[in-house]
Amino acid sequence: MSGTPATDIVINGLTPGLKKVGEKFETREYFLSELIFAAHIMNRCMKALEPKLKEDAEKTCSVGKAVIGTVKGDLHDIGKNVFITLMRSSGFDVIDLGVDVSSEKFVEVVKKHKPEILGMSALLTTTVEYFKIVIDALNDAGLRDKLYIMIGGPPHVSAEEVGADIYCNNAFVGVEKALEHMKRTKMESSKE
Amino acid sequence: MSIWDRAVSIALGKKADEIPVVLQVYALVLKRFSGVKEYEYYHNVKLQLEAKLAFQRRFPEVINIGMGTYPEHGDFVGPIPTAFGGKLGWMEDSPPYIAEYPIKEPEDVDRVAEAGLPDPRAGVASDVLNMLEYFFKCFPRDLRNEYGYVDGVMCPGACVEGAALAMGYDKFLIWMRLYPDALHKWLRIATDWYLKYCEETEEIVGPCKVLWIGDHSAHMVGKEQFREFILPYLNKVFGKYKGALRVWHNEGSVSPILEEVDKIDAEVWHFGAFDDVIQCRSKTHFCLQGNLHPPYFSKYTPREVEEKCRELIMKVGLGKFWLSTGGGMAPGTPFKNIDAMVNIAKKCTSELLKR
Repeated sequence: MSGTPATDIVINGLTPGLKKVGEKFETREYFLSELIFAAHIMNRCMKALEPKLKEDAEKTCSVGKAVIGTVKGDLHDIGKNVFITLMRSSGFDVIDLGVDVSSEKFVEVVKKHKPEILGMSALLTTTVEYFKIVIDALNDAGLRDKLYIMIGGPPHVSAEEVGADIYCNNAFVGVEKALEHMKRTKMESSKE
Repeated sequence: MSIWDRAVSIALGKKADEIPVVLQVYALVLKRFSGVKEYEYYHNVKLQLEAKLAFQRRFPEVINIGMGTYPEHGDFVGPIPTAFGGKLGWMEDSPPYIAEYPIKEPEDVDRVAEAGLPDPRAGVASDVLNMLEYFFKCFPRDLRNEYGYVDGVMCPGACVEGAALAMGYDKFLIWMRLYPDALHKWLRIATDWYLKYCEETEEIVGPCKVLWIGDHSAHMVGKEQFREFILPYLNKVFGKYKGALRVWHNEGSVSPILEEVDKIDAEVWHFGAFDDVIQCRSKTHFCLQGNLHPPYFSKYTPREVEEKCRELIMKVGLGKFWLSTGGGMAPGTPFKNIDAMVNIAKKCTSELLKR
């Protein structure tokens, strides 16, 4: 509708639709095919709305900052890209590091941008081990404590085992957990 | 009767007196068996063959199917994309990937159609077939006779998934809705080339006795899309090799479309840990190969392996079942877990036969 703020289109129009797709994906009424197509539509809309969203962003604050990438040795990016689309549409400022990201790169970007959230993705069973390598490097650099570290991808790994805060088996759950974390953090800081 | 002949009889439902252990142990595990990183493993055919033989000698009661005893050199992802001009990317210690997609826009499909089918040795196919010639020359006769390796065995890599890899999975799925005609045209071209590649492979290994196709495209879609975009092309290939033992490897979960999956014209389905064996048994015709979750299998103690295998075997019973992991063996799997699997398969077999 003409005159509708871009943020309203995203929050009240696109996001609920995408959420519905996510719910149907969870119940296996929809498949990766529908999920990817929904993300494709979302991306196209976000691109069209980008200039207006930028204008709005100057007036409002982002929900939080997140750095997201697929770990070294792994080039799978479908899940990561869907997650990034959803995070952005939920108001997060996201830095996308792409695929095959080394621990050094993760540390460098976290140091520079100081995000609240770090998201790492891996699909191959061989590269899941790299989650721990990144988290150890963040620990060594003294950056771990201030980060909420989320890991994702089909191989069922334990967040505890690799030192992450949470494992999410799909992008929609991931965004919910990220939003919950930000809410928690804001409540805690307002108490202080 | 050789181990392989017995496993085939079980797969075809002619015998039901044994539970063969049929695994897929390939680069992820074998590179460490041979003490090198993956890149070197893929590029050194001699070392690769030695690793495969060493594994087989260590586990004489295991059949190592598919890529397990086939040359590995981008053979799964590479043939279709690189035949049409795509580029394969190599990493130090991970599997190769498609670094450059040949199909980016619908116009690219017209371009490849006009150019005609590439040579069956175009792209990485040439390297894979050269390595296969080496395997054919050097693979020991005793293992070929006992396990049915090499002679007449074809593993031509991803089929419909190969076409998808030539454009990227996301485009493949999006085009099903945006450009279905262009996608069908591309799938027809890719399948025709794939069949030429199969014929070229037969020139080396002889007439096809075993066709092993890894293709994970089915788990990405629902019934209608599977029926329209995947099944006809997969069956065009499988259908050409009736009479051979045809194995479909796909560990992605396909529970919601089992009735459609049942139409795949193959005898064996190597299925994954997230599909229920009872459901798969009741709704499909396949001999099931599976389905312990590989990452869990690699972390179990041998006792846990025995428990999980027993649980699975007792559910499925004897006949049309090969005990395996649900997908390729995970890196770092302790060999004692494979020993435990072999032992429990024998124990359970005799228990079931006594009943």
